[in-house]
Amino acid sequence: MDPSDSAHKGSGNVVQYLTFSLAAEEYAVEILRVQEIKGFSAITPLPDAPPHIKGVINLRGTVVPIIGLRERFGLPSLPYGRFTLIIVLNVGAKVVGVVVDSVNDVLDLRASDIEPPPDLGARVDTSLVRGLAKTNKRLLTLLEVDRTLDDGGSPRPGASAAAVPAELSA
Amino acid sequence: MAEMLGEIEEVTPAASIEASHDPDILRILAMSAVGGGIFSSAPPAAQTYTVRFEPAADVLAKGLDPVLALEALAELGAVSRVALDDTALPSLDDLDPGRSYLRWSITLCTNASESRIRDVFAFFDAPTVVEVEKVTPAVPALRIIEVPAEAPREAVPEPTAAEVPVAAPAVAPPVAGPTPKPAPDEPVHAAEAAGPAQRAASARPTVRVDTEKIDKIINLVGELIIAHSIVTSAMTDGSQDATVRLRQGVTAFGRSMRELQDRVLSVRMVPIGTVFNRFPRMVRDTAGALGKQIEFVTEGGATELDKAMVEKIVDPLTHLVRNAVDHGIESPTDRKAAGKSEEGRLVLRAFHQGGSVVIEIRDDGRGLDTERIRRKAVSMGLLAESAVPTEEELHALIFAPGLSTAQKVSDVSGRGVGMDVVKSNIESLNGTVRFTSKPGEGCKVTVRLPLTMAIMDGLSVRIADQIFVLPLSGVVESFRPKRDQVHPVLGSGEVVRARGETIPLIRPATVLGVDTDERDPSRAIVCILDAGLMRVALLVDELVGQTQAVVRPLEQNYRRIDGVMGATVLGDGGVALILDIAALARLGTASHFNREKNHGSVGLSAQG
Repeated sequence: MDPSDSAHKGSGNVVQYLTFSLAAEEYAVEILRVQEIKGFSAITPLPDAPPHIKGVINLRGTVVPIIGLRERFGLPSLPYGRFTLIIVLNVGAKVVGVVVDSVNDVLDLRASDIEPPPDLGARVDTSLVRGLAKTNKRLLTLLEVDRTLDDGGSPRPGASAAAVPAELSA
Repeated sequence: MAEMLGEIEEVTPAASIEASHDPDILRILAMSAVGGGIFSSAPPAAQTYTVRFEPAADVLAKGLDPVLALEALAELGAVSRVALDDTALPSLDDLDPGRSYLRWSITLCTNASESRIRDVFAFFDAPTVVEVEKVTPAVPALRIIEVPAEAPREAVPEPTAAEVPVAAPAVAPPVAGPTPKPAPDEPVHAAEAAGPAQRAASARPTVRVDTEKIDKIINLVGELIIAHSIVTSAMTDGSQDATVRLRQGVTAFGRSMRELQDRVLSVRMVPIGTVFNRFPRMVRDTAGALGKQIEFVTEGGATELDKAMVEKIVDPLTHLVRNAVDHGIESPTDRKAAGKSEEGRLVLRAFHQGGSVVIEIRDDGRGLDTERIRRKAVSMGLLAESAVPTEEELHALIFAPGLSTAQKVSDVSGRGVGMDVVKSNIESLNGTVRFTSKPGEGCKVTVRLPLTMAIMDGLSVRIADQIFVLPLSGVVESFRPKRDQVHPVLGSGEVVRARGETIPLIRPATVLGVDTDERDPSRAIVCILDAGLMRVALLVDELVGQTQAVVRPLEQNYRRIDGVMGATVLGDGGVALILDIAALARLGTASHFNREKNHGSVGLSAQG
């Protein structure tokens, strides 16, 4: 029972996606999972956090963790400034912000447009990818929102191997 | 619309799965990322345990609540399976609501050590059975569980391991069977337990509130709305008196806001009498079993305390009261020989004192035998043979793990677990506990708790360009040390000498990942922090000021971080982390003394 799948099952239901850019790549996230898009605000770093957890911000009184998607996907970091954008997502009952380069547009995608993530071998971590979508010559990587707070996904073999028993028993 | 509904339904199971996955995975990742450092003393990976918990029939009479223990257990990690054995449950006619008939077998995946798991049940003495068994991770947890001899009539429904919402097992057991509950004196609990099984899914903690309180809150919200419209209209019109009206509006806003804050907090307040009410029977029973005569007095039952706090203080208080009955008050013959009345007197008293709630447990027994504590501590290596500790330091030693001065282990207490757990439980509520004793006249335990965990007095300090908040209750003093007050020890460690005390210096880099701008302590500032058994000195760049911090839990959207109690929003809209002094002291000294575990550290590292 993967809750994230049911929205795409069966008929060619149209789901709206918000697209955003990271470096030269384009990504998309289900628009119903997006709470808001906000500009940059000062991030308080956290001790003992993996490199892609940039810290926490105050979102109208709630303390929200911020994930650097560039760092999460192993892309080179960009310095944060006035043009940095944070997409605030609902991950279950939690609220999480992800830092992206820019937000592009809103797209309608059908379930038939979406392909499962390709097998890129152990070198590339695809746990954060729900699938790929092709529309109008654009290739979009669909973000698996429910896993944004999961392990760092750093490509080091040690990390992923260690995560296995925890997943099995949970 | 149908699509949206589908979306909403989807989110909920996702949330619970996330909750069960997150902490473990993130923790593992954090460990590999940080590489030793902070986590060098932590256990390496999540472990699966099978916990068998069979409360003795009389635990409820002793004032212990298995449900609270199960909830505490669920907080340690991800519960993947709970089996309820209710075969001992008699028919309704024979059921004694004061007895406990249920047994549980729980599969738990956690980073916590086995001793941490056992600590949860520390207050349960034999004949309660608590077995903690490691499950080898290679085998799926489901097959390991031993099924009770007769199939339970109503076990918790058990789909595949991955799908179990983590919250369900924690809440379901007490509701799944007709749980006997001896709590007519505790409306909050009784209301929850009495509900039919169908309510299992919605069994969230609830609070009963006076409608009068709610009406006042609604009125205040109305005033806030009026104040808001005053401010808005003053801002939009450009007339002469706009500034005056703006000022009026803001003043009204502030006044209503402060009152609203008090009122909203008071919603969570319940009188501590709900806890006190369970003790007379327990004292009577225990005293009867030990052949003692005790007059038990409770005072200040109307003192109000945060509901979350009231629930968590039950176990430590139970233990302290039982201790006083067992160790404190002597047998009638001994009392007569000492020239006292045969009947001992035990007073449990609660009162407000300067923003905190104080709970006192006072007996007129024989008092603490400090000489025996000293000998015991020396034999355990907690104290040097030649040391000349003060009375106060000796009293503090009874909170050390494993120290018991009882000459023989009794049915009631004396196993050496307990006081250290009491202390750590109270400290986790941000409270303190102190022990004073006069030989021959009795002991007094003073538990001091903050009124609420939601708002806290803090001292904000600057480390490099970050602001951190220290709970003010734990800050002893802050000063700029003279050059000759700071000494290096053991190559990597440093100590500060202040008022004749030698205090380990913690540089924030070792525990918080940021270092002070000023490397030289004699040009920075040290905050002496009281972490209970020990004091530590934290190096900071600057004292910013005293603040009232509204505590926001980090685990609401992220996860717990060791050494951090929560976060708070600063005046400029930024976020500051509130530091957990006890954890900071543990982390800071662990990294100093890790290699020489048997020296120096006063047994504190065992708590990790």
